[in-house]
Amino acid sequence: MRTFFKIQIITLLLCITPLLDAQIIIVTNKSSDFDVISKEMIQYIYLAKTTKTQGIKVEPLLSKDETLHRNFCTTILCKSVPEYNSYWTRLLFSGQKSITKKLDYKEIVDKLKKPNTIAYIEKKDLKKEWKIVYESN
Amino acid sequence: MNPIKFLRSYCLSVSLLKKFLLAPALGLVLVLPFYIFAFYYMYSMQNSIQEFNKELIPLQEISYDNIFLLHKIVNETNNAVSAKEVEWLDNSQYDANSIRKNLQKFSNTTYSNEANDALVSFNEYYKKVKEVSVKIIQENYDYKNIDTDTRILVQRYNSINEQFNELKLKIKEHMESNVNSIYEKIKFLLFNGNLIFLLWFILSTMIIFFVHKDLKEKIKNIVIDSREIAKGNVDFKKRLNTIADDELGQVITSINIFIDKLHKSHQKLSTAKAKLKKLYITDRLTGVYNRAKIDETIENELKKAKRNNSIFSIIVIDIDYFKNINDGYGHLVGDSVLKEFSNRLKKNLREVDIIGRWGGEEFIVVCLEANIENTLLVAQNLRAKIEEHSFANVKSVTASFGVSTYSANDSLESIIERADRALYMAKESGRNRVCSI
Repeated sequence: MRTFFKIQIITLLLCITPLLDAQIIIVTNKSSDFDVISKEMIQYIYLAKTTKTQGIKVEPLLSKDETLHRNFCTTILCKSVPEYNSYWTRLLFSGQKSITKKLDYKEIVDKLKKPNTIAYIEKKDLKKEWKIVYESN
Repeated sequence: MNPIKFLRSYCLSVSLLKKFLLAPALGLVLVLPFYIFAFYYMYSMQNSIQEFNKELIPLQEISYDNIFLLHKIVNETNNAVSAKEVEWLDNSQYDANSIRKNLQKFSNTTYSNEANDALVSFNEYYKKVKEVSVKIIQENYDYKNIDTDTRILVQRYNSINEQFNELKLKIKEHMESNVNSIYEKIKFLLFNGNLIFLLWFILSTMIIFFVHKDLKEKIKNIVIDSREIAKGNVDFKKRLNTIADDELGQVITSINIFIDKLHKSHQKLSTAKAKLKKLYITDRLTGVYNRAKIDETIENELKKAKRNNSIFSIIVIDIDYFKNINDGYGHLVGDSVLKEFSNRLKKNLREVDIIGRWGGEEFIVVCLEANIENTLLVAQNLRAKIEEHSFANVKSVTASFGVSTYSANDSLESIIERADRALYMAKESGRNRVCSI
């Protein structure tokens, strides 16, 4: 009985661990002028409704990782990827915004060296030179 | 020449009708050039309106249509990309062609340069739209130069959108300018029309005022001249002054003709009156004054003598034995003797003395400013001249003379009565002599 209980706990942990690993966080360089950004503000920034938070201009980065991007759209922006794409298509063809190029992890690491640049990553990929400005529950 | 003086002199020389017609004629002179000006002005306004209707309104519609079509292309492309349907991208081709056709319609207008630039920009934009859309669909929003391509696309879209809006705005401004120009022209016409009317009104009033003043002055002059002519003794030599050639001048001329006729009639009447007066105071046979005149003369001299304390005398003369002449030679010879006798007396009197026939063969002489001595001398002289004269038919005629001189409180009757008594004394004392009392 005790053994069965142990197995159950181990199985649960094994199931939860990948979920914990897939947790999306918004990071920025530690030298950035802000420490926290609300979810609404992140939505505003990524949907090009604003370019600033707390009076500081922010440059958002997009990830080439489709899963991460999908999770980001679903979790943070509350939109499906087609909705997100359609939204940006509208912005593009109505002359409001150009579409940002998606970057791989390496490029993101490189771009995040610049202060006031934000990116969504999996929490497991967090580096010590970054700080978390938003973390989804 | 001063225009006002010229106008005034012109007013004096023309008829009343012409003077009153001067106001509408002047109005016509003012209004006619204005009407011609207004006609050409309206013609230019018509051109502006025609340009407005034929060119600007269709161009504005086209410019709005282009903006609408551009938005339609955006929607169609957006739908195609969202749906990831490359074929759908061709749906916007018809709209793109419409835009191209629309822009070509500007070729012969003042906006041809802007339209050509817009056409080039649109073609570049549309080409880029298709190229980027295809890539986005095929590469699923992720290809190498997506950021550069989309930035260029955004720039081109904004550029063409701006050009279309600028074109629309320019046409709108042109239309506004045309409308404003028409409004300004109408305002100008109305203002100047009112000004011309006001000027005409003032000038007409002035003309009527001057005509009225002129008439008033002329009538006043006629009244003054008429009064001057009729004042006291009528002076028929004077005439009304003809101061104008108008109807009033004609009236003055007629009045002057009437005065001419009156003058002639007056002259005839005066002559007749003088004749009548002469007949009234003259003895028809001898031509000397009659008794009435002599009575009047003596009365006047009596008044004068009393007033001035002056003196005068009278001589009563009677032809001696005149009855014998009438009986012996007949009345015709008697009359002839009377005539000759009176002539003889007249010729030998002083200048100031007045002679008249007293009746029958008696004559009377009034000697002015003469006392008894002077008068006796005059009487003696007359008696001698008669005695020495040889009368026709009867040869010798003599006369007796009675003299009396004015004394205070004398009357016509008293002074004559004394002279008569002196004459009686001369007759009684043998005739052909002078006696006085």
